[in-house]
Amino acid sequence: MLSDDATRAWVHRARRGEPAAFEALVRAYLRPAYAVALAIVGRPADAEDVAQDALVLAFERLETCREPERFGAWLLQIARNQAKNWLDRRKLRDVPAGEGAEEVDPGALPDASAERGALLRALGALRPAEREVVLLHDLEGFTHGEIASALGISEVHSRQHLFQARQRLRAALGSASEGHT
Amino acid sequence: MTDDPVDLSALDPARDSARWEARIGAVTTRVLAARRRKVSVGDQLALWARPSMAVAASLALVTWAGVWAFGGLAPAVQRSSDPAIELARWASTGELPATPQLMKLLGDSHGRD
Repeated sequence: MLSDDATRAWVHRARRGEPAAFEALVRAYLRPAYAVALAIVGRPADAEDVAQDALVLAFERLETCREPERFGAWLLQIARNQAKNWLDRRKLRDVPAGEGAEEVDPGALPDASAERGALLRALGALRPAEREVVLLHDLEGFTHGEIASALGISEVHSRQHLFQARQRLRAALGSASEGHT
Repeated sequence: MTDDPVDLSALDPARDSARWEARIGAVTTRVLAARRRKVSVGDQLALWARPSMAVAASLALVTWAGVWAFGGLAPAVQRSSDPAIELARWASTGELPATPQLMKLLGDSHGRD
């Protein structure tokens, strides 16, 4: 992830319309946006689309980002909202209204590898906050401070969510691999 | 040890780096296109203001250099600015022009138009 100073500088340059600044910010923040979206929508391909939409929306509203150095946290909030809206639309489209809340649909991709499918199923068993934290920490390499800032939680909560998430993932993945053998 | 990271690399969208680079390019292109659509006429004018001022300043400099190099304004230009110069002189010095002078000036100007 970019430093606060670098992020602020790129955001200022993006506000002036410099194409290189847009690419730098997309390169730095598309993956975190994808991780947050994946934690909510549960399907990697859908998460990529949601992350893309979130970035486009963020840049359209760039002038409203009050703290340019916190562009990442601001973007991730947009990505979360986009993902939740997307999930609501999918629920209306795919299943009868009123069923389940924020459950993921792991392994929905027909070409998903076994490992990928098992991971998605295991992630689907976690609470949403645990999914976000473990994906940002173990996939994106965020620190607890960065996660706390991005998700608006304390570092202590971030650590607790990560600990719980890892335990549950290991339990789910362990039982899945036992089930296959 | 339960506190080691879980290997989530199977979910890494950048595992296929070529595909991920293409995705970054596509997002950047979309962002730039959306940004261009959003730029209003006022923004466009603002964007052009600085280069336009630079061009205008350059033209003024070239004109001034030409005047300086060729020893002053052409007679036609001097003549056309006479009434303005005369009026400016009266205004700056506080001198009250005599009626014939004023009539001559206005008459000259009127006759020229």
